[in-house]
Amino acid sequence: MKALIVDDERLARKELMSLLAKHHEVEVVGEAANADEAEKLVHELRPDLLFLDVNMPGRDGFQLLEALDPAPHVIFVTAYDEHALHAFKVNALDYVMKPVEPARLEAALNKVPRITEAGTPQRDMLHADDQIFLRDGEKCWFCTLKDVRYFQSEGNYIRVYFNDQKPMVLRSLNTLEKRLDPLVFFRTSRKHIINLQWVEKIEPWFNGGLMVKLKGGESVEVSRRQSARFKELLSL
Amino acid sequence: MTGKQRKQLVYWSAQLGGWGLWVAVVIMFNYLNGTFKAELVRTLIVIYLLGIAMSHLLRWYIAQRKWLDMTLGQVLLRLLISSAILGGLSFSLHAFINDVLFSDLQPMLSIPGRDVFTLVQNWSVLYVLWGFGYFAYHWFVAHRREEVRNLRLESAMRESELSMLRNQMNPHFIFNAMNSIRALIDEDPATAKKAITQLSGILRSSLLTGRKKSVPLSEELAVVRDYLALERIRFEERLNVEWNIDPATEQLNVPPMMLQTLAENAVKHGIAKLTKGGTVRISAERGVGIVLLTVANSGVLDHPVHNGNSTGIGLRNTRKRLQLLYGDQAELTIMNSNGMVTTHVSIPLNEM
Repeated sequence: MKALIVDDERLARKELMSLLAKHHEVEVVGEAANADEAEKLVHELRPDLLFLDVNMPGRDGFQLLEALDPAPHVIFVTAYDEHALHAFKVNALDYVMKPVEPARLEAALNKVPRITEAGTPQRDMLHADDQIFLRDGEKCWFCTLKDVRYFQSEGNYIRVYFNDQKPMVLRSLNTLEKRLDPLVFFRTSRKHIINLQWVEKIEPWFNGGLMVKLKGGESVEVSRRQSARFKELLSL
Repeated sequence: MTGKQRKQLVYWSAQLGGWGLWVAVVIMFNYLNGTFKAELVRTLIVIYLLGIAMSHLLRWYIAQRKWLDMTLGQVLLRLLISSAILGGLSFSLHAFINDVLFSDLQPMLSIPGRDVFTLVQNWSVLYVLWGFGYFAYHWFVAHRREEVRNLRLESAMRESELSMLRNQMNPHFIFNAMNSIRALIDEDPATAKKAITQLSGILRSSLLTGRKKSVPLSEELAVVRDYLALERIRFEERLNVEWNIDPATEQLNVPPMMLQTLAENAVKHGIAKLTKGGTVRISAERGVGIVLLTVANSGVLDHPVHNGNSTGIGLRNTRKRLQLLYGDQAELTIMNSNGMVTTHVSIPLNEM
């Protein structure tokens, strides 16, 4: 599995490298000293795993993750940031504390899902099994796309409905739509993108539109213009 | 039950119980001596009620005259006099009641002077004992209250000392330093050894800080040097340090770990936030009647009164310390100048 180390301190990166040396399943393909470098390297090297320091000059670790879709698997490496780590609402992350304990690192590595296929999760199309990183104010989530019932546009923000959460994040519905798997996600109107796997019932609505009932209990309207495409898609 | 109600309850139980105990002792004494007679019961009831009434009067007088605020000697003298007066009063009342109500008993108003003295004395002794009980109880309660107050005060002091310690021992710095040193052990063992010594120096002085009010600047500078040396291991070429210390200031007294706190702030909020790093400049000058310490770092001060920001907390604590130590004679200012955030602290001179 290909890993990228992101930390602004050279010695911290070196220390992690030497700890990772005996883990043959992990191949460190690069090092980045800040978020900008890291973002570039993620696109170039397509790592499966990120060792990420939260505190960095410029954009911090969270801001970097917000810029990465899909979010790679992440092991946070931090000196003393209880506060930052408490931001997480779901247990979808792991972290190790500096100085890093070898046993702790091993445990964290064991939790990373094994990548079976030769390919890496980094590709232009976001798959249903991919995770995205969401941040709303002080709270953060790693959210797997298949858990998302629908996205709703709210001005410059979108609200993401998944599990019992609905954080509002600064993203554009249009940009997101282009990256989502069209077999899974469907743009029902200017306001919504729904996950077809969550559709429970479809009913006719006014003006030739449709009303989609989702398994979560919510209802989302399909505009007249999109209804034809929607029917077409479902009949396939 | 309110505090006042509880006090009333304690008082009346002690009052009724205490005099009851006295009556019981008298009965038992007479019984054992074979002098117990049925008439004695009536006399004892009178004594019981009289005792309660008279001592209640004494209590009212004690409260009125605020005896509880007096010294032991003052109270003792007053208690003896009051008990003698109350003793006489009690005997007279007892004799009067006896002669009016109980015509079948031996009249008391006409008994000889020597016996009168003994009876008055008996009453007086009871009031003195009553007084001892009363004051012993109140002193005990006051003492306990004082003790609780002292304990509270002590724990508050401990707590503030502890929180100060926690603030001084910046865990982020310590763990990062440890991590750098760990990497350094392979790369450059000699520097790693030196770094451990430097880290020990900082830990030691931050542990001792709570006990000292001031240290010579030279001592404080040694800590800051160790600290910045460690941060240079961590930040490498991203941290550039400049010193400008007037040798005349080295023996001047400064509060311990204060310059250190400012240096930590400069690194944490200045250097650590800059991708390319920057400079920390430390200077000490002697002015007229003051020593002026300056810590400057590359960067821009964002919202000096930003809430929840630890710059704010560090600076606020430092200001509080200065205020406690020097009143209005010390001053701390922070400002942006020429791409640097500059913190000035001026402390009144206090040579060793």
